Amino acid sequence: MKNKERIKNAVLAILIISSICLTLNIWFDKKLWPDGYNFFSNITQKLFGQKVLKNSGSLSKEKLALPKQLVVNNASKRSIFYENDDAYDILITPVKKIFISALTADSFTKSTLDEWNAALKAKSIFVSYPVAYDANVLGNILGVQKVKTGGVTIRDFVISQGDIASSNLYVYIRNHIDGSIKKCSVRYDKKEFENLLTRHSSSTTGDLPYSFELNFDKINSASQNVTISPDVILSINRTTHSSLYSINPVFSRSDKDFVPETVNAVLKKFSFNISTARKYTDPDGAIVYVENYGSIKIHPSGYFEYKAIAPDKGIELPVNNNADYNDIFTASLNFVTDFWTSVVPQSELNLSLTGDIVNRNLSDVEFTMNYYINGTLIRDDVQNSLTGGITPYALTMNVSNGKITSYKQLIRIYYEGDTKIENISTIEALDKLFSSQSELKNTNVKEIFPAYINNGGVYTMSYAAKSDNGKTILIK
Amino acid sequence: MKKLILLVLCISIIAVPFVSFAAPEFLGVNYTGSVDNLVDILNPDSFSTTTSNSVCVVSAAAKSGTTVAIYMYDAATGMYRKINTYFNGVKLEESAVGASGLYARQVLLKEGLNKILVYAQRDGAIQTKRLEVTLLSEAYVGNLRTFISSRLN
Repeated sequence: MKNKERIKNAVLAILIISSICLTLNIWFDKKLWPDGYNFFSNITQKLFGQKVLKNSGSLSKEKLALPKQLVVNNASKRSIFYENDDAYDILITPVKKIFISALTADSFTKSTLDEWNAALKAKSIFVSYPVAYDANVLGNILGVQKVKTGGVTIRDFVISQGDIASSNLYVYIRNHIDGSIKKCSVRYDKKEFENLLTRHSSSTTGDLPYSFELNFDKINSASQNVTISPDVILSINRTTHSSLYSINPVFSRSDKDFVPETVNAVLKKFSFNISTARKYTDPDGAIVYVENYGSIKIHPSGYFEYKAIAPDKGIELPVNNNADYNDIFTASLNFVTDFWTSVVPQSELNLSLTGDIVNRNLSDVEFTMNYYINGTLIRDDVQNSLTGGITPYALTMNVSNGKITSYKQLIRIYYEGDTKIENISTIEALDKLFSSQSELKNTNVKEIFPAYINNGGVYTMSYAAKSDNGKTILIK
Repeated sequence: MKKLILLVLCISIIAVPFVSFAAPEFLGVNYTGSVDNLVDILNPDSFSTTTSNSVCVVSAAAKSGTTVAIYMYDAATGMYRKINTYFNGVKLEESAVGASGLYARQVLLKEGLNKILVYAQRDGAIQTKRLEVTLLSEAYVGNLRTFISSRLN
């Protein structure tokens, strides 16, 4: 009799404990209600306030805001380094230190394009960011309290050894908006700087000439149909690159179905309740989830789109009510990073910004990004099956007054293969471009750089070119 | 007889493209073209230049369809020898200047005076332009640097 009672009590205890655990799981993990009107969420927000990130996520800011390339110029020698190169890691520390000193320099003098070009030809490091940044935003990323460059937008700068007579380095900063250049003097061990240049410049300038060194930056002949901006580096010869492959973690080809873990992670990140969101399948095979304040459409290609029903119903970023552009930028980058680590935790984030980061009206901010591998752009353009339109960005995020109103991303993991693929020279690429688009003749090519292109599922190498009007063209 | 004439005609029709498009491997030291409007040399920007860089890039602008080749004077043969381009050990065939109108080729220089000849051909017309590039020796450049440093210190 006593044993029967004991067993009964034990079973009851187990049932009570398991029901409490399951209830807690449903409330806090699966979320019975989205955050907007979650009883518990409201209580915690009222008691503890909304979590605001202050200078946290500097890892994601630095990751997404690293210079795209470092070009080491050492008179007749020249080398170019990207993020994954060992030399890049060695060079970025002194480069950052010198640049911070430049941003806080007390005086600047006007400089000229000739001086800039002369610095590139001599002993210097040419630093390029993937996009132009408002100087204050860049300063914030680098942890600078007060930037003294004035209201400039920076994408490139040059650290020059300067003349033999001076014991300081010179830093030339170019304003991306109007092309004006200013110069300042920075104290740094010149011998150490020279050693850096000597150790990290191996190719010749003949392998990597600047456009101005070949006089391609001006029209010098009636036969010349194009000019190329002065400091664009050209590939004179054909080059070889690693082959590229990608994995789509959203849709399983073997199962011919969406991967539940990935889809659930996407929904969770946008505070969608997996159990209660309305779901249907589009004619093109995409699944659409609809909740009260937004919808998410996930395509089998791995491309997904979140859209809020109204700007004030979007996903709230953790920023104060008086957040400025810097705060919105930081919080947005944090969201992208957090999203990636939640949805694709097995892969490193290799997105980079593609649109200039300048102060804008906070009611409508857009960030665009593309994937890169070893400094090379990947253009895995998504074609809208209904409209036929091409989306040239891997990620597009719209933020309005601190809320994400739209978020579109192609979720892809890229990796290099063992085989090598060939790329044509820069001039061959330009020939291709002007053969197919003769109306572009007599324009200036502002940038031209190698890119991986998705050709029916196979990645080949080609180039992307940007003209003065900011339009980017893929050369196929 | 008719068959023989036809055979000769066929052979010449087949041979003409190979003869007219490819620049010859060697050119005589006094060889000169017949026209002067096919190609404009952009770099080096003057007839005679001096450099400490062992690789010189000859750049030019030419009408689309013009074949351009670079020759280096070879004192041993007394002739200009064509500089061929290789990629992964394979010799690249000459290609004509494309729609951009731009041309660029690397030239590996020897120490001292390098005599270069730029050859352009289009529709049977040929233009040649001569350049002289002097490569300074490393010892000379080193001495110059030391001299300047000592003067300033």
